[in-house]
Amino acid sequence: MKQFIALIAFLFLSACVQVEQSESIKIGAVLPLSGWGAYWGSPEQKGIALAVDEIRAQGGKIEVIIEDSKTGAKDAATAGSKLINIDKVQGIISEFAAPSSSISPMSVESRIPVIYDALSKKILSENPYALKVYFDSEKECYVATKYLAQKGYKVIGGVILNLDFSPECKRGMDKTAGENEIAVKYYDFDADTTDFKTIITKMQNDKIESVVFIGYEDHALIFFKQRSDLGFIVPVFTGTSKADTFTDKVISESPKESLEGTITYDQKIREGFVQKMNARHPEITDPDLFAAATGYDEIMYLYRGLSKCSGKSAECVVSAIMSDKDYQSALETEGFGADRVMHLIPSYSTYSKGELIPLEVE
Amino acid sequence: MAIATQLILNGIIAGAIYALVASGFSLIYSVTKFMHFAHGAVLALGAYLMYSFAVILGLNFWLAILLTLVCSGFAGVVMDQLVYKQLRKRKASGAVLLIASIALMTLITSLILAFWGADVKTVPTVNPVFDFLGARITLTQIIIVVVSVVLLLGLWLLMKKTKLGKAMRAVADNKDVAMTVGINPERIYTYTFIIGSFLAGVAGILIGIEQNLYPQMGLSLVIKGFTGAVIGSLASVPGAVLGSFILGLVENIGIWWLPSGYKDAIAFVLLFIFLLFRPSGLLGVKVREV
Repeated sequence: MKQFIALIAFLFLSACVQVEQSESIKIGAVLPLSGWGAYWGSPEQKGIALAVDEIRAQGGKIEVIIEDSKTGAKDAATAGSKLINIDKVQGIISEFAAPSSSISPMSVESRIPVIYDALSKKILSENPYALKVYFDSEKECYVATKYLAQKGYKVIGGVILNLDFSPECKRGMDKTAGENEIAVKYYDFDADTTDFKTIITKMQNDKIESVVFIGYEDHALIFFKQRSDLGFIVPVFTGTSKADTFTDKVISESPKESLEGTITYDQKIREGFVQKMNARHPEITDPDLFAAATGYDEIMYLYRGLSKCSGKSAECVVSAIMSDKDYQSALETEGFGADRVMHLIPSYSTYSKGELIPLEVE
Repeated sequence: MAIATQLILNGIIAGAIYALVASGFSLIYSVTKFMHFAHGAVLALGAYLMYSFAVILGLNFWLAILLTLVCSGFAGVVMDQLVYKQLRKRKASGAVLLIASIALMTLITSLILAFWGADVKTVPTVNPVFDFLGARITLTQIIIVVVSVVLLLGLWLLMKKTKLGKAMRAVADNKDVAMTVGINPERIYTYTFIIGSFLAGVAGILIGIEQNLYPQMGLSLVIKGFTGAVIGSLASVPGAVLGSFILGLVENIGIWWLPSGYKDAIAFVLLFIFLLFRPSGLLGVKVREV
């Protein structure tokens, strides 16, 4: 009899613990912790950790499970499947277009909201439970090409990394070409390109007067070096942000004459967040702050949306996130719009004599 | 600028890079009769060691090169002694050795990633640019082209004119007969891996200076080196070098008209054409079955 009562008590307590644990909001984070995207994933973890600590300090219950996408679609899919089917997460954050694209179908099937961070908007059209953070490739390429056209350059080359966002970037460039009567020519390259010499030679042959460059840090390192070697010094406007392309490493390790006049852009981050991150991580650099702020905001928005919609549908969570205007994000933005995109506000700068000088760009 | 000259020069430089890889790969294949894909890993290791010695530790540039070459040769010996020799003792087939080499390639790439990190590295050097018939070429690129040709000549002399080279050719032709005349095949394999891995180290140093360092660099380069070797002749170092230069030229001329994303496709189309119609390669000897 005593054993029977003890068993009943044990089962009752176990059930209580289960209920208490199930109140904790579980979020999965598929981050590029290795591969070429590690420059983003590693600092982003710090932002996520800060968000988790702050939520818990305010009495919130949150668990974030981090998996490594290895900056690839295949490993992201494995990670996403594990998070959804084994860890039973209620929401996911994901980085870069290819890994996010592989998680998106699982998000749709399982009706789990996902906030992803990439240039491409393609996933939004396929997944009603997806929200996007980051710059807009079509808009930034449009702005870059328009700026160069207004400076009088009539033949503009688009040196474009062949990824999900490249058609969107080309749309932006073509739109400017139509409005400003300029010629735009494209020179695509793949993610594993290590040699731009023939592309540069083609641009010289085509009399390209200025370039919109879309690529990441490793591509930029080679491009700026080889264009200096080949004497192809024309203005460059990076269609991808400073954090991705015109990084501190590119600035410090590329030939200075090749960098002169390059225009890039970055995201403004609220001072409060910067101070908090600097207090925890004094060694953190500006590009890392951008990644950290992105991770922080993604977790905060998803947690807040899931909290408001506990037990309800993914549609409820998406709607809650889009209408959340009370949360002051670490990234200086106005929150998510009706298009499910958190539009970032770029601040432009140009490289001149060893410094980045603020630049007004319409 | 003379565009055509620049285009050809770009192709020659690319071909020279592939030739640096292909020469060591082909040497090892010709003697051991299996495809040592981990040759790419030794190349990558060489590049990263050069980076560590010259940039992280700040050693004298020439000392860094010397240490890198010694370590690369040693890495090849370690691979042979710890992995391939053990498999040879068990009479493993060429396919098994190939699988082992791919496993080694993966292991070493993972170790490079774990130890040095995923971010791209560069080896800063002073690299003057020269005009050549209206085109531009850097000092590093000139050195790459010259070294690939010198290595070819050096290997040819080694194989034709030295006792070691004759022994290597004997083992390559028939290991059992070579043993009967007193040649120790295992010792020859060791020397082959030392020389082949030394060549991988040279390639790693030069490619690391010319391009970026990233953990997967060895895999993509060994595939190109392999393709060049197939085109020229897998079992012939001069053939492998010739095939590599052809590959470099065809790729760069090809992407003049096609989007540059087709570069790898061009390489593999060329590979398939040779595998289908001339599997022995340009300088390979067709063996008729009687």
